[in-house]
Amino acid sequence: MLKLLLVEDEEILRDAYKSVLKSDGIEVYIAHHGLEALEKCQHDKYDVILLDLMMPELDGIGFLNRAKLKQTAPQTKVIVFSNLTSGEIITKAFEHGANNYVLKSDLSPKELIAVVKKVHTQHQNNDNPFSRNNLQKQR
Amino acid sequence: LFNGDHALSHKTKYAIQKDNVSQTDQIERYRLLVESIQDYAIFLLDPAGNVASWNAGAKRFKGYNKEEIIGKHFSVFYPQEDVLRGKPQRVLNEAKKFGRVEDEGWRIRKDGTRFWADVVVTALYEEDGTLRGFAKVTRDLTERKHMEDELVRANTQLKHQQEELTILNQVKDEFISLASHQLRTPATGVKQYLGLLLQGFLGDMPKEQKEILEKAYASNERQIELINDLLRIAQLDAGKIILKKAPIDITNVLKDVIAEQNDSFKKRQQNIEIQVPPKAIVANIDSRRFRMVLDNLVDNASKYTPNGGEIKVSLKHHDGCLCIEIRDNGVGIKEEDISKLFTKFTRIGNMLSDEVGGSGLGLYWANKVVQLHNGYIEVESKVDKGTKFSVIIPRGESNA
Repeated sequence: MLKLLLVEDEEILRDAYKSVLKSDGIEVYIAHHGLEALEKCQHDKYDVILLDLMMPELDGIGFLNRAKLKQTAPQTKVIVFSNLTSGEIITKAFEHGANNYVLKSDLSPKELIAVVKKVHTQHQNNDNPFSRNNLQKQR
Repeated sequence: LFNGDHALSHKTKYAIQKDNVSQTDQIERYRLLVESIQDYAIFLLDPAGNVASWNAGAKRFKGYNKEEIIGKHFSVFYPQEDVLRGKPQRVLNEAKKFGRVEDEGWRIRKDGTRFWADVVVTALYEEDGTLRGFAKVTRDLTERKHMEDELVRANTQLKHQQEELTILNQVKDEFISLASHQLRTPATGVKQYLGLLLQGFLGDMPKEQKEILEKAYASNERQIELINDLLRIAQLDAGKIILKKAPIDITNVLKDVIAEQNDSFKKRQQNIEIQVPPKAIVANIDSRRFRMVLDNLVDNASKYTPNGGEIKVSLKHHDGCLCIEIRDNGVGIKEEDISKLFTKFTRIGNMLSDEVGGSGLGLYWANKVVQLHNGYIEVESKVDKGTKFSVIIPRGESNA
């Protein structure tokens, strides 16, 4: 069973994503911010981390910076999901070890599950971060 | 008739008389001239700097009568701070050294008020080289000074206002950026919950209910698109878009864009045709943003073409330029509307525009991005026949 850590501070989104992911049989663990995620990662290993960026206590980039997952949990895949669209932020997320970057407002429940499964099974860094599914539909 | 002798003696006599008159008269005329000049203070100083003569202009500027100022040291005309710094003596020393010295600065009238003066002091020497004194010519430039000061003040104020505007503009950009982000969160929540119901995560539902939910979902999607557009435009207008150019095969970009929209073409039963050269065409572009531009144009072509229509996409290159054409046989654009296409918040009315929806920002943004690539977009269109958008950009430094 796919074990996933959902790091999201917005309750409305957290609950929605939890329902979506659980309905597909994914084992979902919750952290409310980067600091809590950091603690959880020290005691447990996850297949995928679904990581929000703008959070209190410790933000997504701060978490990636401190968790050093490449050393501590090399098998863990990180999907950064945010509603921030600036190129700088996207680049930063990849530089800090994200395997994928998705725009929250872009993903329907099915697409979210598809992205999680795709990232889980792929080798690192061979995904195109700028494909239509990974960025907002532009029109 | 005069004889020659008489004429000669008369002429000589007259010349002698004239000479005598000019000796005394000219000095008097000269004195009168200088003394009556109103627009310049012209007066003499003795070698020690005491006032030795006075004219109407001097009286007018400085307020002293001739009787009360003659014999007084000219430092009375200087503000106290200048006197303390020894400026009057310095002026005389420089005039002695260089023959002439010019200076601008504040001077004091008899009543204590200040005026801005332009002063020229010239040292006067006897034929044997001894200093006889100084000629001092002063102009009152107070009005000019006030105008200059006013200009400087206005300029400072303008700079200040400009700085304030820059800050306000930054605040506006930050506000739009933050607001867009915050607005997306609840819309994203709605999308997930509606998606859970619509995509059957909680079981089937009656057709009528599903249709209502589909409308709610589509409405929410439109809101998300509007927020996204608003944010992109805010970034663009703030000049925050810096292209990240890299050599990339544009044929692949084009194929990707079309492949990703395949579902839309299928849904509308539209035929899509793509013509690209067999070889890779590498251009130096910001691939992410350029992909969005093409995505936007192809998407528009599909949306503004009725079901069953045709869309043709082609890529040509010529003389270091790339031309990407997106042609449809859709509703077309009226001639008078073509010029409005690339303006912000403009939506052109036609039989499909209500159905399509949109913010009127897509083409504005696309055009700007193409311009940032030193290119341009061309439009040809006929109502009910179709539209052709051509994106023309230089391939850039890389010609691999």
